[in-house]
Amino acid sequence: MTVTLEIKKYTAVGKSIQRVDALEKVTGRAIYGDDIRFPDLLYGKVLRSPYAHARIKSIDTSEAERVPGVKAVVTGKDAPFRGGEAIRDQPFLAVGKVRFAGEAVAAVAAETEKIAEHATGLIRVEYEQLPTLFDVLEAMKPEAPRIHEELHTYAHMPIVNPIPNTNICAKFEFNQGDIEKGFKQADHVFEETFTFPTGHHCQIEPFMAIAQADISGRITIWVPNDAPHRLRKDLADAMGVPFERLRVISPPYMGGGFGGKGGLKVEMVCIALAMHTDYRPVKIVLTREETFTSSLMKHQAVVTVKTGVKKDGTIIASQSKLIYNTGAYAEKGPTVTLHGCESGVGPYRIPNVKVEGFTVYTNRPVAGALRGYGLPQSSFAHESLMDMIAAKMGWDPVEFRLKNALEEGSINPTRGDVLTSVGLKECILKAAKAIEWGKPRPPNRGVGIACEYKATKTPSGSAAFIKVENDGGVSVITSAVEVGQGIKTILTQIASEELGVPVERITVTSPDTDYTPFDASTTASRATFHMGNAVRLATKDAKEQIFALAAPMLGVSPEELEAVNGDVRVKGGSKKMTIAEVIRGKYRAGHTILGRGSYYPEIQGTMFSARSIFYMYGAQAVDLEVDPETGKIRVIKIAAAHDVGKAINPKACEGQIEGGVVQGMGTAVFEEVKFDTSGNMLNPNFRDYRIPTASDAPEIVPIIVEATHDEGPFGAKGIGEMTLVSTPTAIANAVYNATGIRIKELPVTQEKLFNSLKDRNA
Amino acid sequence: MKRVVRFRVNGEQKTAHVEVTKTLLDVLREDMFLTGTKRGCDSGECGACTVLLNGQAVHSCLVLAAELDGKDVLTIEALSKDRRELHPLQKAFIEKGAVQCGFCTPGLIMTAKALLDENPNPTEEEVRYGVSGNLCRCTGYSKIVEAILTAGEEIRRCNK
Amino acid sequence: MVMAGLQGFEYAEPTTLEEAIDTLANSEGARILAGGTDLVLGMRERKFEPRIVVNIKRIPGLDRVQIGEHGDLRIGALATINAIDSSERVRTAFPILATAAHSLGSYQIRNRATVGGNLCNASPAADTAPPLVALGAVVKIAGPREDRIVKLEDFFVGPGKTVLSKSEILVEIVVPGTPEGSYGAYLKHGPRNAMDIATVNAALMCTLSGHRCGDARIVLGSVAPTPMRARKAEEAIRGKPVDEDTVRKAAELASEECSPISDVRASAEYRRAMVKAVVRRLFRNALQSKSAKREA
Repeated sequence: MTVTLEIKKYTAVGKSIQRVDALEKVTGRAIYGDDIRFPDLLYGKVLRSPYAHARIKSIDTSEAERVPGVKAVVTGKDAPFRGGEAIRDQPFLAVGKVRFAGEAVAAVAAETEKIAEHATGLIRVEYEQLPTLFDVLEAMKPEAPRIHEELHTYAHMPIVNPIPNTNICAKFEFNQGDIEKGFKQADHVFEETFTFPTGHHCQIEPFMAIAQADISGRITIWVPNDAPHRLRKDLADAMGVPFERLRVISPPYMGGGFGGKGGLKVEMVCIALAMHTDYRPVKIVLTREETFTSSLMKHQAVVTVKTGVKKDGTIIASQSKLIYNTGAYAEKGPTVTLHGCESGVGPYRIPNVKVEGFTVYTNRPVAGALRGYGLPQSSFAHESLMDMIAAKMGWDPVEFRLKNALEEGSINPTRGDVLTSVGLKECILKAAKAIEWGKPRPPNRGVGIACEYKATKTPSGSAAFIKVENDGGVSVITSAVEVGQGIKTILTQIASEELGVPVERITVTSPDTDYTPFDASTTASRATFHMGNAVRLATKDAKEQIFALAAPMLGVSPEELEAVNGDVRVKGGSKKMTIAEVIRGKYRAGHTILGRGSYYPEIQGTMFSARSIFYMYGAQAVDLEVDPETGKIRVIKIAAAHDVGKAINPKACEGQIEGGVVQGMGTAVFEEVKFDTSGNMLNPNFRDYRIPTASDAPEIVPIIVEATHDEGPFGAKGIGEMTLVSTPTAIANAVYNATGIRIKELPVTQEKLFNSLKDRNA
Repeated sequence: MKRVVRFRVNGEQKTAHVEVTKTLLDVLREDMFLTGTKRGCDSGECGACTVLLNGQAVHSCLVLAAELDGKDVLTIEALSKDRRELHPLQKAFIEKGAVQCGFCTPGLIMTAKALLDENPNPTEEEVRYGVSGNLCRCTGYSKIVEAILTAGEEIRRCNK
Repeated sequence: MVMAGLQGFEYAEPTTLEEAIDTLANSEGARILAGGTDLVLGMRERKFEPRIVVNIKRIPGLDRVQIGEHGDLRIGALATINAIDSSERVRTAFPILATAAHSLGSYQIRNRATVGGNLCNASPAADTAPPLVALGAVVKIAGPREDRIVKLEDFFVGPGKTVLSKSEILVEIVVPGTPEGSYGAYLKHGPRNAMDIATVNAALMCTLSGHRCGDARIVLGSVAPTPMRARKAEEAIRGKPVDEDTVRKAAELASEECSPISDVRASAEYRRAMVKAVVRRLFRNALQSKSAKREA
């Protein structure tokens, strides 16, 4: 375990300062995408396929085009581009055929939303239905219908390797040691298969975009997207244009992303319309129903885990086969699968490992990045199996985990790299303690625990500028997106700490690819670490420039200076000047100090292929009660311990933990997407796709563990995704503890648990 | 079909010539540029559109604009006139860290205000049940509930 | 199905009952707007496509909640669910109705939704229907001819359908005072602790002397085309001691005599099983409220 010594007393870092965006948000003054308007704005509506798999025989838009107030009607041929970061497989609008119910087939831009809606209803599409494929295991069979006949022609990321003439768009493997030998050495071998359901992120802000083409054909898009530079690249690749033909602007705030608002969603059809409206901007806001069916879902997955243990409690071998149902288009499916594989056998010291992952197309709605990025699926499998093994062997689930848990210097069981900054055992111990593990409980009451580790996207880069104004104010210029996690506040704290300027004098920009420097994405829990480092470097750069100016003014060398509270002062002395005085001292007519920082980890490999620059660790324990008469679960308490390296803002970390845990709980007990036989979602609304309300949320004990990271800003790593990964499994394990029922397919709805209890008692 | 309605919004008398197919939410956001009230589902299920109608918390997406004649609407924008006069709920939400993405926040604060107006000393359970019509996906509700209880204390203290 | 803006309609705002009835009688495709929480949502989902929406909230005197000198409760059709939920007098004299009102939707919905609207929307899962039927409520209906009184249990015809003709308006719900020794319960079973449309909901009113049941009304929701009396179950417990055996028998009968469907929320089998659990708990809760009253 890393021991951290606080040598320096921080002024801003490590403090739960108030979020810098909170004032705007509580007063209703914060601007989100749909709050933006222009005088000549047009409104777009989309016509979507009612069929999951069909050839488009004809589209007749003539009647729609004649409606007064309609400015553009587009179909696939009007924007003949295909996009997709992992595999460029998704047309802007359907071309030739549709591959999921809800796919965009045509769109209308009109003076009002009502006119657009009315006109959309007048578009006639003739379909010829094709055999549908919904089951991911069926989709892997050689005789399954091909969803992408031209798979072999699509451009794709180096790490992704589609298997031609199949529905398998990516395959990954990790091998360590000798798996067969490992199983032979085991005293007992266990194997089980688990199913993780699809689901929706349920951001409260629906998806939307505004796009406008200017007279030169350059396109600007205002969109709550978690990676503006990545979006620009995705669009540039799809449209075959250089970056400067595109501009991505983030509205100041996003109403929740959780990974869903990344990549190409509404952007595609919005741009298609904008290209045909005589340079007028077009806004599309998806309805809640469309947000459910036609934005992004979570991957359904079927995972088989096989683990061999020795009598003394050590895990000697583990093998996992993970099949991710990525729906009609790959989206981030391949890298989601990769991450799931990377954590495929759990955070344990296992010498013999084999992990195989497949990303498979079906005619389901598109699945992609969801907070956790493949881990909720793989974790459910191996962390459930851990408990099944413990039960069979008579071992305590906490002790079993502790015995095998990764520690400082351990080898990553999948990638084989040496791990540092490992706070896992502390997380397990603290979560177990907070739930009072081992305390006798009444009947129908149980506790469960689950733990995990996760990589971040490596290598990936972030850059930042720091602009110091004449009057000493500071502007932090980055492309990090405030998705709700508090990154603007974190970057403010880091800049404040480094430059000694009070937080009130610091503002953080929102991304605009014309002005703010590159950032890979606000995903993978990477922003605090990567952008934090970039900001820290940029601030240091600005500080050095200021010291270089101040040194002669104060009659000392730059090394003798420090920056405190907006001043530059001589260390140990009393002479000081304000930063404003320093700048004006040199540049009487006004100037700016521009600091720049660029952080790109020194690790070889293409994105996603390298070992991770940092790993996050966490453990969650659940205390719940089952009503045996109805199968209803009452989650009483969740203790969630997360190793964040260093909590830049502890309260913000708590908030992330509390939110993630309740999201995880929703996945475990309530959330279920239901489809009819033709592939249409039966419950695309909050009425019947139930997410936890305030009355459902349990008592939550968020626990921050700090195993500092040498390369993180002030030792920080990341947190966001880990917070919902272990919750469903901890709940399933607690259900087993309470009832003896082992759930191998989530969600564990009341009906499912009731039936299992009934069958068991029969 | 259009209809003239005369009603008060945030203390100001308004006269609007509205399409009967519009909802209060449409009128607030589109005609009055009061975009603090959010559209999350348009179905009365997420609570992001909550405003006070004659002092009662309602889903503005389910109120027809045509029925507003003579009514009094209060939106998030009017809870504080400027930064110095934040409502205790707004202060508490900031201090307790109850705001993350913020999209549910205006609706939640309006619901909480109505709740506290009706029941100045609620239990935690009453607060949780009272805001169950406001969905939040970011916070897990813990700090929101804490903020509302704290604001309740503050309001009772001020009213003594 | 496209969830979209509302489609065009005419809008009327009568200020008297006569004017409202007249408008309804002379229009095709009219729907009454009370709280709007069902209608506006239904219009957006294209479940309802009215040609004219008739807002009756300007008609005075339809929203009162009064307890008469004989202990009977008179609820104006436009009384909001929250008015019932927050009425101390209703909570004391008709607790199962207050409980049901409290469980409906969200706080925001309860502020707008009306008792009349909840009944006229006639969802089999309506929250106020089982307790009102269990309490023996009758409804007063105004129309072009004379007012008529209908027993609430005869008011519902099918999912979304009532006995109202196109020009009739439900104006009042009258709940007779409960006899001495009356106890009851209302339960709503769903996956979450708030906001759900019931998987199964049910109400019980019975008279208890000692542990013997006098009369009993057991009303089930969400398990038949309309809220329904579980008459066989009632028969099985009427006049009998309320013990584990009789309650179990009654619960089984209730479970057999209902006709639930499988839908996106739950399967018919689970609903049937939950009827059993819910009916058992109704009796348990009623007994508990009896001992609580004795101790008070």
